[in-house]
Amino acid sequence: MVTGRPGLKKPVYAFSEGDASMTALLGGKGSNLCEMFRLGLPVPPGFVISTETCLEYFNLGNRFPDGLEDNIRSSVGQVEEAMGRKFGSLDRPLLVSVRSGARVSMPGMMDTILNLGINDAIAQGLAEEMGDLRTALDAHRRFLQIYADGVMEVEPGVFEEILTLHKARAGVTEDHQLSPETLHNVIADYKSAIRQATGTDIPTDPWDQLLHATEAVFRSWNNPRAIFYRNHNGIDHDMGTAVTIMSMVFGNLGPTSGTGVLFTRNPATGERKVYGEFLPNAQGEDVVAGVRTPQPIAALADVMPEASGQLMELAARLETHYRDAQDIEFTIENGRLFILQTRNAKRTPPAAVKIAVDMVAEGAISREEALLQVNPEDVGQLMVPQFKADVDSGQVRSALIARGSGASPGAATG
Amino acid sequence: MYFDANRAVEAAEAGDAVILVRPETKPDDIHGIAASVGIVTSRGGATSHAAVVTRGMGKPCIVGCEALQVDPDRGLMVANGQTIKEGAEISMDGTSGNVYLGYLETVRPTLDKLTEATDLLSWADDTRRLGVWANADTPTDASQAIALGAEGIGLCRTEHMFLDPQRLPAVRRMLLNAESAQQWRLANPISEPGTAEMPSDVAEFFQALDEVRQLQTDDFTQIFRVMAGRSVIIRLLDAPLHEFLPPHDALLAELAELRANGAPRTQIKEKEEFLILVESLREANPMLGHRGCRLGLTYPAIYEMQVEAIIIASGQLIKDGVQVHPEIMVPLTTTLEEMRRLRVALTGVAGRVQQEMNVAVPYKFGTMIETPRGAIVAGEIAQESDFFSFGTNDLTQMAFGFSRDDAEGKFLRFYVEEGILPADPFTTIDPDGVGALVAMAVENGRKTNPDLEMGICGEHGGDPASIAFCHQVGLNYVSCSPYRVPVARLAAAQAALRDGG
Repeated sequence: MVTGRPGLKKPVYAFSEGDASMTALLGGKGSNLCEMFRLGLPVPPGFVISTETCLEYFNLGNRFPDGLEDNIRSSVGQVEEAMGRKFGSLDRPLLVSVRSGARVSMPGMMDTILNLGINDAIAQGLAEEMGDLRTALDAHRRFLQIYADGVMEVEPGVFEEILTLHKARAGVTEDHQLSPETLHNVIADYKSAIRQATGTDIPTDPWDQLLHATEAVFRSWNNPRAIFYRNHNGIDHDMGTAVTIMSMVFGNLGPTSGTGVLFTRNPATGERKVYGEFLPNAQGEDVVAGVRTPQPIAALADVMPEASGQLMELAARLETHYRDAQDIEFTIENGRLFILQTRNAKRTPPAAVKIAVDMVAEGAISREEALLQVNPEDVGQLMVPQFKADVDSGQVRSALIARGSGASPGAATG
Repeated sequence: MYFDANRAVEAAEAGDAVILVRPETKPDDIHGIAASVGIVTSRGGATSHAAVVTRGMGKPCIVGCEALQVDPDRGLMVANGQTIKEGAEISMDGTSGNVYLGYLETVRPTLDKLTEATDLLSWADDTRRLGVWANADTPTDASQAIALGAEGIGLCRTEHMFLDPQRLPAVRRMLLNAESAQQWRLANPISEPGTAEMPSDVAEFFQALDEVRQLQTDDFTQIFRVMAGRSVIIRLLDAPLHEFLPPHDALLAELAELRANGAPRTQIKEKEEFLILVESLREANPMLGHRGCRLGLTYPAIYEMQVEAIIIASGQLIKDGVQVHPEIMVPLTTTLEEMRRLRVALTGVAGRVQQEMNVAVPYKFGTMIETPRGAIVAGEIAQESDFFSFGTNDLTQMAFGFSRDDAEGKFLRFYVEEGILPADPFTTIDPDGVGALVAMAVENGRKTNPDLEMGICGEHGGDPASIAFCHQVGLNYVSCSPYRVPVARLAAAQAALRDGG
């Protein structure tokens, strides 16, 4: 039992209190944000609840350790101050994201709750501040959906159905084309669907939302798909997850807003050329979910030249600092760039080898670092199968039925 | 090709190679992705779920393939105007993004085209202390192993040479008559085969032995030639004899058919005698039965023949100016006395052949350490050994008391998922038990014989975590399948770097 042990570390760390060496305690995502904050990068303000606290929560039979709630409340206070916003206020409200993050990256396996701290009245207040009712309602709609899925375990398909139905009725194809009136109806339908599925409502008190979401992220460490992923990848089950709570920034405030992902090198080939994609006027989950097909990162320079220039400069700095190719998530809110996350980029085996060898040639890392940077299995993967037949031959070309983007190399048949 | 993760898993479990095609993948599809050989999604970009997960797994993936209209509920997709039903065969190239209808054969590339990998691996070679050898049974495997950087053959199994269908008749005649021949030999200790009166089955044995000796000599000659002076460890016959014979039930069925069809009496009698022989070789637990050096001691003519073949092949190549470095390996040794007797007998044979050929062959004589007892008394066995090769597949089975086929099919996955075992011990060596046996054998073996050459030839030889273990306990080399050689070269370098160079 961890409770009351002398020398127990702090349960909660502001971004200014951690660094990259603290991945075991703050998770990969949390420790990275701390490190970026220390590097002076434009990270939205926030704090991290430690993996130790998560383990203590499990030890206590899924109950918050004493004092954790007070710690969270005072940390939110600091974020309010840094953003000039207030959590739960109708005037300049603060919305936050609540993200999981273990020592080892497990993409998409655990829960992330966005736009938390919103309800009908706050959405109205947000709309007045933004001068845009549609965006505020859309943030509320997204929150209901992601909270119901992540915290209340409502089957997400029902929300897709409601949204599709309303889009069809309104005669539009994209989410952002929905009118405020339609969004009001969508929200009402979401709420009844949630009540029907669970017998309860999503809490309207932002503090209730925050505490429940934190617990849900702790618990998501033990959801079946996370367990499967850890088994498949040989990851220890006893580490627990950290919870990162940070201020939301909005990529969907209009044409000078957007969100995207940038790789400092091409993750498929390893070529030393910035690679990535962005969606104008969108929130981060649109990119990751692959629902809308994004634009190449080069196009950002045309729409938002200043933010694009700043992004490229930061990308180079991050790669030098971390001595490895980076995968950077960013959001631009009304032309202002925020870096949400950076991590060593996942890459294909050929890219892993090329990046390591290129970085030695560039003098960026030593041979020893290069040898340690490449997973030995990647070298085995270089021997991936290819088609025996000439793919340019008429016979093979006539069998071609479709073309997409190659996302992970190698040929397969089945 | 399947449109649903659960159906993909079912088909994969039935033994099909499966491509999973989805509009987009979600975290809930992870088991389907794991079971598939490739993934295609009609939506999404380079950072979508499918793309990120498959890259981590090293599986081919195509995303944003919008020309495919996938309808998982109806079990079909429409592409290029054609309706394609679930279960049909497609081919995909995760590099170009192309999807093809039908089966296209796939092949693996060679290392010499991959210049960056060649650079990285040459740095690895400068860094590592462990040697990297390969397990190879044929000249083709051997030349592949060299192309991928192997420095020797750590395990050349002679069983595979015996199992060739064209050779099997001679091998069977040899094995089926081995017992009669041994009885005759004991009764006629000074008679040379072929000179004294001998029963027909004994004559048949020696005739078959001559045929097999010639075949083995040809095999070894080819492999030695490819390896050009690099070490080649040849394991003497290990498998229980019944593995080379038709299954008992199949023989019973054949006999029943002969009888029912009213076949000639002589044909039925012949089959009956064959069945009696096969029955005499049946074992309740073949893995722990009459195999390895137990065969070599009870039927000495077989190992003698194999050693003759090794020395004849080596001697002839040396005369032709080709360097050879054969190492003769006894399998399944558990006592000093087994090793002592075999060494006396077999080095005697090797000496005689060298004298007859008038050539000196520089060979080593050693053993596998693959039973717990063998590991425990390794200090003694080292008195009679120039080298040890740890057969960690069998050592793991016997140390755990797991029959691998039963364990992997029934409870091992549960054990790993529930955390009863931290990892599958057949994939990554169990450091506390099996590893402790290896460490003890290394220490005691070297105490007896400081020049003892030691390596590992189980599948662990290609597993990075196990390679790190081999480095720590001070083995001289790891031996793995040819395609794992590049992986092992890098893993061995990392082990050296993490050990402080």
